[in-house]
Amino acid sequence: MKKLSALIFSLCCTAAVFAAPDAAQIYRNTTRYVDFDGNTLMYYNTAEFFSLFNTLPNRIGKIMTAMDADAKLVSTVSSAMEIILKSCNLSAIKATAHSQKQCAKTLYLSKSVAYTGKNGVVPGCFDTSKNLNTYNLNAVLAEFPVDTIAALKFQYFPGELNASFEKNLGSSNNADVKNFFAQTRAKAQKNGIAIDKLLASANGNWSMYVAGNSLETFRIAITIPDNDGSITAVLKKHLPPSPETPDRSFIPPLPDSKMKPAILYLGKQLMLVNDFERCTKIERPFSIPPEFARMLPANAASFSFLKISPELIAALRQMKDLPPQAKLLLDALYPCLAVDAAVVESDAVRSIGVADFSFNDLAMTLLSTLKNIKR
Amino acid sequence: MNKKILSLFAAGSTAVAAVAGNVTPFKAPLGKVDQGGEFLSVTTTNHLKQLAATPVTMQNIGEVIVARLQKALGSTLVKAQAASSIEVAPGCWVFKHYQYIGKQDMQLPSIFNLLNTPDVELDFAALPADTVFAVSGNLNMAELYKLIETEFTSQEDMLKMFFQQLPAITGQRGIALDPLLKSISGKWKIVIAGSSFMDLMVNVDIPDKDGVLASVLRKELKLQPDAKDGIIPLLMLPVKVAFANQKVTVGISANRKNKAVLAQNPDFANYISRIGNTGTGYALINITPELIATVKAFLSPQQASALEFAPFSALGLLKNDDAGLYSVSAANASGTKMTFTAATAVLGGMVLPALQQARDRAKVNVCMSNLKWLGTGLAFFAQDNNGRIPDKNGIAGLQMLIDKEYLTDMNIFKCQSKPIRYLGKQLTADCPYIYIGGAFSDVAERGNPKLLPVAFEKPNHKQQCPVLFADGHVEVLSIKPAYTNPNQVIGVLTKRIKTNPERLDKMLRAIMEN
Repeated sequence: MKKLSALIFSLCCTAAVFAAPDAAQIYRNTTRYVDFDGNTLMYYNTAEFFSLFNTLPNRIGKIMTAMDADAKLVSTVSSAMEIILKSCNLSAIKATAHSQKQCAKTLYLSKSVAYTGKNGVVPGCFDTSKNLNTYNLNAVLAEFPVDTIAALKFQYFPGELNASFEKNLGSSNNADVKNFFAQTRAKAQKNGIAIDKLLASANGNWSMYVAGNSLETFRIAITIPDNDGSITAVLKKHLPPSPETPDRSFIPPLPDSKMKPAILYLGKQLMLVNDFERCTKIERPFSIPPEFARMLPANAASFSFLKISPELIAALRQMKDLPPQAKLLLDALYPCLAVDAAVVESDAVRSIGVADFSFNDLAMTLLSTLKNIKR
Repeated sequence: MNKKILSLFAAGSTAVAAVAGNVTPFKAPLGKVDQGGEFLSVTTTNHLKQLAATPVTMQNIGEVIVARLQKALGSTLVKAQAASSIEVAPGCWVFKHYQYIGKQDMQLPSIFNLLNTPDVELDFAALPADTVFAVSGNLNMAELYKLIETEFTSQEDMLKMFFQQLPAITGQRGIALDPLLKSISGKWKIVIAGSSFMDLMVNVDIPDKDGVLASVLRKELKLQPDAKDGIIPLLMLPVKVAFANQKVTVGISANRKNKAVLAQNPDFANYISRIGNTGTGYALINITPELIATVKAFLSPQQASALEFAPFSALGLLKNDDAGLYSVSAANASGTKMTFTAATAVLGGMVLPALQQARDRAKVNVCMSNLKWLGTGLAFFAQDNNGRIPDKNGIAGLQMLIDKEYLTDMNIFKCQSKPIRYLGKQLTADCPYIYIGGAFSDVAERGNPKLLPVAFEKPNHKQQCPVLFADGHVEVLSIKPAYTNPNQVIGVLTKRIKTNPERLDKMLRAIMEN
């Protein structure tokens, strides 16, 4: 009898910590991806948030009605918002968590997770039932130049997001919304732009980088996929390349600018660059210290990098005619490096970030700088 | 078998403990809050200490005072913070917040040390059932003042001078500061109750152990030394002061009939069962359906429909803890819902009226533009007619401009506040503008065309009335409290005329009657 009472007591103690088994399970499944021995831990169950968030179209409609908006317009806007929210399916994310930990004097590890449960899908962004962890860290580093300031390589599927949108639009009862989008597509089609086809062609690997430690070497490049060449066809129609160089189109530059922005056609990819010559003569690869690489997964669904070098800060501080607010911001800037990897698991998307600064310190520095700027 | 089950649970509990944080610095704060609910946050605050140590440029005396106050109260002693929220039953949420200081540092002079008194049974259950807001706590005012004074006199500046002179300033009025502060140290309570101005109650209970406050107030209010009560003249409100044994109560209280108490409120009974009724202090908020109805009566119908207010109640208790500041609250809404509601209230309360005002202003601007066009049409008419504008008042006069094609766009005769349809080029009684130029069509021969009104708008814009004058300029008159009758315009216009305003008044009234 004593042992039975003890058993029941243990049960009650455990139950007292967690109110609902579902919520408790979600908590356990989410927080197993973060650290409990750092300096920050945050967890948020999104069920309540999304149940309120999904009432947003209705609330916006009420506000519009309160402002004497036309009833038809209110209905169209509310329906359109509902369709967009449904298509994005952000409510697939059941909980999020974040932790931060100092591993060494100038080494901070942060972990974040968006938990969906098995087969969670956010159209366009990720599908936990698929293996999207196809990027290798070293291979990605080799794609970016040695003087990279910021770089990002990720997978994005606008075609799938569009398909989700089309599906939800099709099941909507609001004829005005359907007509509006149908007319938009028809108009685009008349101008030779098949929206569905273009978006589907852009499914896949996207990347972008900003590089250069001086105005003379400053570069921006954005690479997008073009699986079936339809985006290339549209661009070539509106910005025809010269016969001598069919693999690139030059974009008219800004007045007084010496740069030559261009679009490079690379088979199943397009690259948009701010200056053709600078972006085609670059030294690779970008590199990160081994202690950073050790803490990151070898393979991930996306990688991002941020490096503010002392040379860059010196170059920025030498710029003339800067407004006082910019000068204050530059004074607060210090050399730093941060790398982030996003991994798609079977029930979540988690991100592992390594940096040589603490995000709390960064937030505090930014706050006090902004305060001084405001003055 | 039972041993095995027990050990399994023990292992489970250990696992929970492990998840709960078996490695510093989370252990203490994490152990005080709930896991597995809506929200959990644990963070160390070393970065705040670093920020406090970093000199921040402060040019504003307000910022200096706030920074010093934070230091005085001991905010830099906080080593870690934790917060959580969890739904413990349908519609009942428990929030916990813990600021970890450490047993040793809790002994240091700080607000945390001052607030850390033993838990006692709290008296909120006996508050009126229609209490909207109440807060109560035990505060040692003398020690609190000492904390602030020590910090503020630590640097050579005007704040030090102020604190050094304060005893002398109060002494001049016959108030000894130290004895007063000692006397008012104890349990403070503020209660606001009532769902309308008719039954509003505001009471502030101030402890007065040694009767010092009572004697100060009796002297200031020129009352008898043994007076039991008095009136404080404050902004025309009947603020009463009552002197009881070791307590002074200041407040206003209507003739209240509601005798029910908060303990009878099922929400609060539920909260008490969840978080108890003992602590060192409490705060509660109770937004009742009656109060919501009162607030909505002050809003426009559109705002009232756009804003969604649900009855809301919350009870928060401050609990004794030897290593930090610990508070537990219960409410009938989640943190997310509270944030959403607050955001909606801000949107409705601030943005909506601003947007509405902007829309109204835009509509008035359109009418001003229309009247300007009318003025242009009249000018061309006058050019062709020996300086005379149409000599018929009302629609007939305006129709002359249309018939003779001085004005061809019928949209000029429409106000955006009201839908109007004209058949062809014929004006109707719906025309929003009243033409009165017929009274002085020989405008070129008149004194000052700047002061001569020739047309104005009917009551379409709440308090605003655009008026066209004979020289072509348009002004917007403000007619308070509301513009409801065109005759109101006459009064405003004739006030501007210095020579023979009665004549203009008579003329305009005659036109209006016709």
